[in-house]
Amino acid sequence: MIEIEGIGRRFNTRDGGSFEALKDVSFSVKDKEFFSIIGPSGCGKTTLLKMVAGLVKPTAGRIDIDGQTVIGPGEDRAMVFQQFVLLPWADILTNVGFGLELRGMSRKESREAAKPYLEQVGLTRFAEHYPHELSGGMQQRVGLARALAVGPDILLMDEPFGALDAQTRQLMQEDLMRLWEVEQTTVIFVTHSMDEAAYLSDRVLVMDTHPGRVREILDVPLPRPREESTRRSPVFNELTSHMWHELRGMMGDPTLPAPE
Amino acid sequence: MRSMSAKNRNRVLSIIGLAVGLAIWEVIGRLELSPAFPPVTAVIGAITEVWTSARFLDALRESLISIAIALPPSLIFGIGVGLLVGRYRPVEWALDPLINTFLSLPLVALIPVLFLIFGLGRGSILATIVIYTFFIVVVNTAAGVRTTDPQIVEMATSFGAGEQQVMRRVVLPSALPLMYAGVRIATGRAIRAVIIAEQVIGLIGLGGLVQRLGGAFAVEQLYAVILFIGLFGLVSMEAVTAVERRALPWVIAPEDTEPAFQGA
Amino acid sequence: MVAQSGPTLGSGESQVPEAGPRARANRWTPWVFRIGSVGLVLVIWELYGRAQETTLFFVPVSSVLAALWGQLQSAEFWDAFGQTFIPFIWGWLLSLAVGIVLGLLIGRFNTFDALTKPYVTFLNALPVSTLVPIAVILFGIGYASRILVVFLFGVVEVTLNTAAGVRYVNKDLIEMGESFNASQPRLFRKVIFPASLPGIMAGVRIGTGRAVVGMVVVEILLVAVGMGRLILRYRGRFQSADLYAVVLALIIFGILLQVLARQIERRVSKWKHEMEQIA
Repeated sequence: MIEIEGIGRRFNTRDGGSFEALKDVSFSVKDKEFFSIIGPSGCGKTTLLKMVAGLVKPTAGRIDIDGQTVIGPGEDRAMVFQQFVLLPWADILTNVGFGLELRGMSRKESREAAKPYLEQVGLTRFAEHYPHELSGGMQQRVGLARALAVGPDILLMDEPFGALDAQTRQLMQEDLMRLWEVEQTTVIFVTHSMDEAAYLSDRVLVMDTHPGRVREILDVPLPRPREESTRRSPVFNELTSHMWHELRGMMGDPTLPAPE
Repeated sequence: MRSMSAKNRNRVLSIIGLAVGLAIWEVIGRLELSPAFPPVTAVIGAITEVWTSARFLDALRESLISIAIALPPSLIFGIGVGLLVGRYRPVEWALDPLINTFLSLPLVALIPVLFLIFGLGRGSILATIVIYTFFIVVVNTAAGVRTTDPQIVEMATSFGAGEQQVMRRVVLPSALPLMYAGVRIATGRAIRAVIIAEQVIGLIGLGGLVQRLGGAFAVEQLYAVILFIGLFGLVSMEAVTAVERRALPWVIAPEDTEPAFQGA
Repeated sequence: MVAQSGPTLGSGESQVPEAGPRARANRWTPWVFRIGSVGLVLVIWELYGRAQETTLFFVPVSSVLAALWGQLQSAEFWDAFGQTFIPFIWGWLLSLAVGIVLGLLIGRFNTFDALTKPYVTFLNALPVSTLVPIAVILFGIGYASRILVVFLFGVVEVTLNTAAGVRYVNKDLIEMGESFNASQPRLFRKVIFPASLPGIMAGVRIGTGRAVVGMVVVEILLVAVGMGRLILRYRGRFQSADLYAVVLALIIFGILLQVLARQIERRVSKWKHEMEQIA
């Protein structure tokens, strides 16, 4: 159980003022839940995720995981990054084992332990290739395998498919669903795609911006396992159009380009 | 296929260029226009004799010993200091003015002072090699550290890496390409350094041999030694580059950080 | 715990101002470190110099500066400086002129590049100081051989950088010129030359540095005239402070030329920097 209580984050600006990125954010995520966070650019959803990861400290409030307050990164959590963030100098197998290596295994042990996870994402025959030889989708599978390899209770995913093209993205979503059914971890999934949030999640947190705060938390009453047909169901469509309505309202005048 | 044939064409042209140049040199030499240009054939004739002479081999050994003593510690300390300069801002602030000064001044000018401090012997030669190589390695290593992708640091941190692990597993490998470039440049500079320092002393090493042969107007032998030094420089660079390619298979094109004054 | 990377916000949230411990550092702090470390070095130099039993070998910085001040007021110093400086100027200008022309030819014509490659490669790997005895045999120890040495030091870098500048001229730019039916000479003048100016100016800057090295090499290997003779004499008479001062003068001269070359380069290559800022 992850409890987020009254989280706020202020940044000092260069001219001596300050900027409020997040204000009074509270919600909780249940064990084994697939929980998505969606919101317009600049709503602080990535900052929020990094706080759960222990990479960014809140300036107000606190985050408890199973009653323990987060003070830094921990062995119970693993993160998947939007830009994949693989080591360019290491081959794929070493990359998958990198999290284990950082937690004390030798290079050899970690490579051995990484093998089943590489197989899980279907990249066994690329074990000795370098990241730059792989497509974006394959690189993100490596990123996912690296996170799964450390056996986390909580998987933190920061727009993991945001850098991929539409077709690859859809395939990755389906693969992720299959893996998640097996692994049974809690997932916090940051995205700006409404389809993705609806298709994957048990619940979706919609965030408002300036400052970033909770707008509403939606239940996703779609049956599991999710399948290709899920995307065409009336409930799915109703959910995504509701989210679109909410997000468009936040972005102000629809004739103006969204703030970047 | 096309690029291969273009490569071959260029190779043939290079050989033609070399042949024409040597032919012109030969003619100038035969005409005895200046004692500075003996016929090429005479120089080539002198090569085997000079390169196998005891005097030459002694000089070569002296020069190599100086490089072998001074270069490795200079590289190691340079890399260490470079890692600190690149990673920690206060260290960068403190050392930047000194490093920049040493990189933007003509280092040869310090040789008379080094000779005053270390005497006319090996100490001065070693000191010359060190000042020629240390700072360039520091700067390249630090530049390499700064190429570290902060996202990779963050990723490692998210998996629980501490500063020591980040340094070893992320920063060091990220810095390697530019670090190797620094080592490559430093190797070339070490050769320049040892030669010029020996030339100033005029007695020991290949540089000393150059001065003595020049003083004796033994021009053919002089050219033979110069040719050796140039080829030695080329081969050393190629060797370092070959090691670099092997060690860093993921690097596509390393960039060098080279200051204006490259030594003598 | 994440102080090094600082809190970075994800993509698409870049409107958040730069934040974190780095940005909060006082803006005077770097200067405290910079001035502190330079001051410390000077203090150590001074104290170590004073602690010596003799000032024959290691001279405290205050004595060096005093000696430099004395030198700057002596006619002999300026005389020697002239003897060093005049051949330097000629050798330097010659290396720029020849290097730029050669570089343009090498960069533009593959055939010329291939023909000259063995020489350029060899000269680039050779410590140029080894050619000083050849210059002496050729021209004696007068101005001519000094000019030649300075020239040889400068010319390779100017050539290589100019050639690189020409080679990396955007192919589209050349095709654009050709599409307007420009003649080769006009294409060269209107498109290729201006586009390769940044490379040429980098060559001028680096070549200037090398030419200064050549000048100093001449002074310490051919000690008959100029600053080199001063160095030799002060060494002979154990006037170490004056020797340090002459060396310091050479170094300051080298750095000044370097700064000048950098300023010129910045002015000429301004459009390039602006383009990079836009991109």
